[in-house]
Amino acid sequence: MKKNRPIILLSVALILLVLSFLLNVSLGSVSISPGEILNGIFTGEWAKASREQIILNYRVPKALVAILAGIGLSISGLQMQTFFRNPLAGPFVLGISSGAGLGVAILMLSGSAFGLVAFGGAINPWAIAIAGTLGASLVLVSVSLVAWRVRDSMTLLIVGLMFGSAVSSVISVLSYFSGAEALKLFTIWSMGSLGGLVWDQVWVLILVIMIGIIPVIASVKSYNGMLLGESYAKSMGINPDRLRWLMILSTGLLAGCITAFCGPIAFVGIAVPHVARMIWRTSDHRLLFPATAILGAILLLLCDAVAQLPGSAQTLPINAVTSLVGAPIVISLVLKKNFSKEF
Amino acid sequence: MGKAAVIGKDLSVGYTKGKLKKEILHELNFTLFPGEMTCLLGPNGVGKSTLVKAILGQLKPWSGSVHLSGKEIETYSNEELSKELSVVLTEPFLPGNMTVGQLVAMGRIPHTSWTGKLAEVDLQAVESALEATKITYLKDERLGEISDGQRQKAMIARALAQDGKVMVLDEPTAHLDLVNRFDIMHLLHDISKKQQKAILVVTHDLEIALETADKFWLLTCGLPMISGLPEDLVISGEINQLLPDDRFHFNKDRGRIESTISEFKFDISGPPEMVQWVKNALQKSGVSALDSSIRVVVDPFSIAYKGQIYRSVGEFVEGMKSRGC
Amino acid sequence: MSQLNSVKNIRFSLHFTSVFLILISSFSGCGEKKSEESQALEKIALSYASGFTISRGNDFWEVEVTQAWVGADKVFKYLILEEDGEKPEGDFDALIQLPVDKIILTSTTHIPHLDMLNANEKLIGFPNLNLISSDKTWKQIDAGKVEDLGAGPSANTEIVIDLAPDWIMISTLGDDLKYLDLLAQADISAVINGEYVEQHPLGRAEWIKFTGVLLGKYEEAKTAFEQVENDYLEAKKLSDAINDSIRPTVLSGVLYQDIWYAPGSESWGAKILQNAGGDYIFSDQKGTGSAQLNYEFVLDNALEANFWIGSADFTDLETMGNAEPRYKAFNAFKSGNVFSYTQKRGRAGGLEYFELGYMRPDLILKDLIKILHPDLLPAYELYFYQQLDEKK
Repeated sequence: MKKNRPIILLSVALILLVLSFLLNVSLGSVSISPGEILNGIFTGEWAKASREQIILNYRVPKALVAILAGIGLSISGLQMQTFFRNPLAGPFVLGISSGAGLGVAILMLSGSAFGLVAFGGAINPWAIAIAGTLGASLVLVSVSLVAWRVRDSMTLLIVGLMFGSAVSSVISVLSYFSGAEALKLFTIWSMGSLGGLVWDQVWVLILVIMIGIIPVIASVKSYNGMLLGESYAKSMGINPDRLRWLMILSTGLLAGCITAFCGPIAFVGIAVPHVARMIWRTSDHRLLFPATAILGAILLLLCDAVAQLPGSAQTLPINAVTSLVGAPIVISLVLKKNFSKEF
Repeated sequence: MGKAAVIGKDLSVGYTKGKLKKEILHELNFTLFPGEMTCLLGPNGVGKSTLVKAILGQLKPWSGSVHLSGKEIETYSNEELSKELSVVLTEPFLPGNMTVGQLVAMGRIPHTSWTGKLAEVDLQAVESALEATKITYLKDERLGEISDGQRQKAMIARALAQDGKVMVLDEPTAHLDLVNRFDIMHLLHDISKKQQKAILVVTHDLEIALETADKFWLLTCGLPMISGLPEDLVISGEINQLLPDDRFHFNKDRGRIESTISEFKFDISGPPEMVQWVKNALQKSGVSALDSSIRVVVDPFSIAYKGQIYRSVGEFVEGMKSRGC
Repeated sequence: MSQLNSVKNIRFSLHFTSVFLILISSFSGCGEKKSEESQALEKIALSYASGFTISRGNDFWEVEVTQAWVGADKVFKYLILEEDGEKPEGDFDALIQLPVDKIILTSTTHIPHLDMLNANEKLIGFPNLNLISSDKTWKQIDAGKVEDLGAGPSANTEIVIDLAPDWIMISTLGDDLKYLDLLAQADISAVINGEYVEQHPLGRAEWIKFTGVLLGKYEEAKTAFEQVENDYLEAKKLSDAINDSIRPTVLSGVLYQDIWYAPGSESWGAKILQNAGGDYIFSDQKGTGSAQLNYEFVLDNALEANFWIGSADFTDLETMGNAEPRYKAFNAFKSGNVFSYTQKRGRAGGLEYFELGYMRPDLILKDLIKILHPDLLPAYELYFYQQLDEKK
């Protein structure tokens, strides 16, 4: 029985995932009963034309994005935490979200700031994805190179924060000089939103996430080896340098693309791997990666459902909800006596 | 003795910092044999870590060579090397959640497929490693919940499970208590004999090493490395190379390091070992000279001096002090 | 040596005496004038604007701005002195001496005032010249008479001080008042224009009188305004006659990510829409600013709206559909009934709607009536608004 515990937990998690998906799709500003939803999907008849629009072209893609973002961000966080041997590593803290922001900012703001009067609304989704991924990867490469020279974990965190700050200041300068319309676009982007994607963009995101996961699958064994530190890993035949590049590729794609499309989403990358570790009580990445991915998806689905403020015409930015949920988790983890030992 | 596992020939190696080249080891020759536990001893900073790194293939020799199983170590890929060599370092950061079984299983990483799944042969190796280190009963315990000594044994089991010909341990007992230090060195010697592995241990525990090692490597600054049986090195006095100045010397008779202070002349009679201990205490106590003779008797233990009988050395020393000697 | 000293002494005492005499006469003069002026203040009635007041004295004007920004807690008093006028008693936030030759404006909405008062040549500086549409002003810019004050959120302070205008007109949200202090220190008269706070369409237009007083052209401003008022009320008569049942439903606003930004029901934009005989979909979203609505809510309520009026800067449906495919679901989009204020642009790309809109609500009203009830204005051609083309 004890041996099967992780498998049982995974199955339970999968069931919860499906339930969360259904919950997320049923809740929103406009009250649509689950019965109506199922009826509409299966028979194609809807009470109002707008209902079909809302469910099929808004809530379903939004829920899918929540799942993809949950998977992508939490797996990125796990990779970074293991590789840098730092429990507080994550896309946000190490400045990757800022990097993606910079990519997007340059795209959205510099046209306007440098005097090109073109309206910034019609930006190609591919352009956004590429800009974000490049920006994120750039920061990640810089942070990795510094980490390679400076072995200390604490220094790494500080470096990540500094990069994040530097990037933010560049963005500020761009913002200061740009026109009202472009600035508005960028500001809204930076508040984070899961529902801004249409189906075409969702397909792109699915593709990118799948590509981004491949390096992870290929290096599961190496991550386990890294648990004892680089010296031991090398002595067991693992190549930390190769792993670093794979991690950069994967995280750059995952975190970079998600941030580019949805704006920066806080806390998912840091908190979810820890919760997975806590629940499954393991450090084996063959288990941790899928567990983290599923948990991340569940978390975002539920946070998004809350953010929709069902019944009201207003919506909360997704970051507000993930922070409210994520920050207490991280704080309680840090305060636990055995925190650094258990990591 | 058998065929050598590791052979070093005229090995010179050092570090470059910018333009400065600093040579640490100069034309060293050494051999590691399977079935033996070799202890590398020497003062801090003399280059023990450098030598270890050269053997592990982490440092490129400036001149000379290091051969592992007949091939130059540079020709091995990282993965091939991991199947021949395993290491145990001083104090790693271990994930507290991991079980001992899982830790030992990590030693099989060089041998498993890309998924990391353990095959029959891997599970066997893990079991025998646990048995050899006598920690099978800890298999499902979490690393965060066992003692330091048990943890280090688990690390050794892991290195053992890796099933290389050579095991290199860098001060594996540095943070452990007395019992554990003995325990582990005996264990390592045991393993080297039973599993025919070539084990190299860097240590400062001279006395424990004397008892457990098959070979010594003595490394001192500026002098060629001395290698041989510990007993030979003691008898020839070469062991004293570890003690560069004259303040200390290795006492052959008693098998321990003692400080070289001119002995006070005490007239003590009795069984030689007991006499020795009384002298030991007197020297430390600051008692300068005693004019009468001292008689030590065993069974029961007593010291007689100037007509007084003392039941313990402590009593005697106190007595001498109070007399103002 | 001694001779020089005595000359100096004489000159000094002459100077001293003359200064002393001048001081005495001005003080005595002041006393008389004071009693005269306090009786001569005539308050000028304003018909629609509630954010400022004008009072007229013998040879001066007093203007009070009571709503400098939304929720302003301070009243700003400005004094405009006619040529040779005597300064009355009182504390003023700015003092302006007519005639005025050099002025700086900071919002394109102020530019039409110059056009209508024939005062373009007085403009010496403006931030971000590219936004301007007015041809008359461009003539001045081409002649090199107008300094560009930069593209940042506030005009470049140094250049403003260097230009030493007779006055500078600014608009504020209430958070950058330190800027005012800075200008005051440099002895530059800064006046706050709070027209954007007005919610009545004619209220905003009436602010031309504000500028008029500051230029010494009150009568011209009054005439110009009355013309606009006339045209507006005439058009409104037409739409007042429309029966409630034939009011088409109107959607307004655009999506950013998944939040819809639309004018609140009590805003200037929504009011004109109602006045033009339209039924604004979001009439229960109270507020005078922008309402942020959930996409679902908008979809549910406005999917079937007849018209879509006010869709940001888009000029054609293709670009709009590409920018946000969700727009395609709306009936108004499908039938091509999307209108936006992008018909006229200035030379460098600035939208004329943003410049002239406040001043000519009559044109906006007529535009909207033409869109919603074209038979009421058969001969009229759209000025600001255009129906979005299919493609670019």
